[in-house]
Amino acid sequence: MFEYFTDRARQAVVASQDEALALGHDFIGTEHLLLGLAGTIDSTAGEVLRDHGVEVERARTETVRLLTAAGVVATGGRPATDALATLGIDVAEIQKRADENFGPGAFTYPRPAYTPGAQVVLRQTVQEAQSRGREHMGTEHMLLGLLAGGEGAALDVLAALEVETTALRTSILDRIDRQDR
Amino acid sequence: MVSEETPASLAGQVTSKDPAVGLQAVVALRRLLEELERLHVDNARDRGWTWQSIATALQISRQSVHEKHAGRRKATGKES
Repeated sequence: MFEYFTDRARQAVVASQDEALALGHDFIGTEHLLLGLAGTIDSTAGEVLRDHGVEVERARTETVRLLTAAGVVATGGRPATDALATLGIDVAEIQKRADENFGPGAFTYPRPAYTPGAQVVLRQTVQEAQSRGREHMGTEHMLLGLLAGGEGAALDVLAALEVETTALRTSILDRIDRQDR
Repeated sequence: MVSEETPASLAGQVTSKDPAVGLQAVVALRRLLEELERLHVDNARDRGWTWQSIATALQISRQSVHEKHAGRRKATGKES
């Protein structure tokens, strides 16, 4: 699916995974997709978010605050690594050798997986693009996809930042209109 | 923590009667398997292996391996 994403949208997806890893979260949720979009500053979604006061640092702070309050612990993937340790598998050793042989980053364990909510957003991203006759999914479609669900951690973060999601949606649609003209 | 455990206690955890412990280990292993597959498929492609030869080595169909990895490699700019 990601092969049909624009360069900027791919960049946002990669940034989402980086956000999850940096925050020690063993999952990529809608909140990480939002951070990825906000952090891709020279993209349509990044610009619209910034216009609405969503800067990546503030959004990240709110994300951490909300997740911590919800009891989500930043484990850094420790439970998965510990579970393998009980089987006698030393992840640190595999990591070290993989880095030596294939370069850093080739092996990432545990690689954060998309939550069901984030998977829905990605599917909606495709729909938002296709319903507008687009072959490629841009960051604007990702942001529309994020807003389409009507719930999820990303929307909680936007609410905490006092962002009016209806106005946000209108701004994206305006941008798309102008691009089409 | 691992170094303090004897082989006998490890075996106890692997075959724990607590479903939560056993199932968690299975998921952790599956994720390791997926990551290793990704690593070695990437390495094979970078060394010029065809999808068919990778599929044969993995004992799965060419279509399965292509569906699973080709799009991801394109999306990450690893191949065109």
